[in-house]
Amino acid sequence: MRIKVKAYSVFSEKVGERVVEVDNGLTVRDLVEILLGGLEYRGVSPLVFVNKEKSDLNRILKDGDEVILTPPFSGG
Amino acid sequence: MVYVSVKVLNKEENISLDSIISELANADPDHYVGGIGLFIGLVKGKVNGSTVLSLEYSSIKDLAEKAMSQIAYEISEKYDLKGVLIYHRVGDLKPGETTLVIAVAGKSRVSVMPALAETLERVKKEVPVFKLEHRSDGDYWIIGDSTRIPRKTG
Repeated sequence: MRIKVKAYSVFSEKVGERVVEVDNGLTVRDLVEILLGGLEYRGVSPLVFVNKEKSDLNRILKDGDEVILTPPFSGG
Repeated sequence: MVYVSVKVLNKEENISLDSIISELANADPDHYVGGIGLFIGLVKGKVNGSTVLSLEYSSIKDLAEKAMSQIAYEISEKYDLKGVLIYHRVGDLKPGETTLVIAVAGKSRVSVMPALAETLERVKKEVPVFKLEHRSDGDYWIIGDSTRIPRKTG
């Protein structure tokens, strides 16, 4: 299945905006580990959004999902 | 009934104080409002002894506007406000340029000032906005409120 991924801030060093081809049944946790090489990158754990909704790591992804990785927000 | 206006603005889009005041005043025809609290955020020119060249903001625009709207409605209900505006700017901003404007209109300072402070704290934590600080000693991602990580390039 195909998942569209995008990452912000420090995660953009590791993950460009792209479509990845992955196996069916993949969880958000699996995808984060594939993309970042672990559940954090440079000491920062990502917040994950799937189709613009905040997601936990156990969610099972579906074909066509859009996944966004962000660090803690930094408004102001 | 509360008037709420939230926007993610590009660097080129101006923010007019007069229009903010008139928007809030026009939304209050019975003149319940006794005060408007205003916060204007600016890019600082010095951080940790280094010169800031610019602060590059990015956001997830639709999620940011949704989050700001939720904050505005919740704060207005908590403090019985008549109007809340939150305008967050994105793009590459230089020291002294405006990053954020928050205006809250309510009955008196007793509700307006704490509402303003609480709105600001929530915007900093709950709105998906991200910063890359360009400084004389390199580029730094700002994570959360103040953690800085040197940007890796190449």
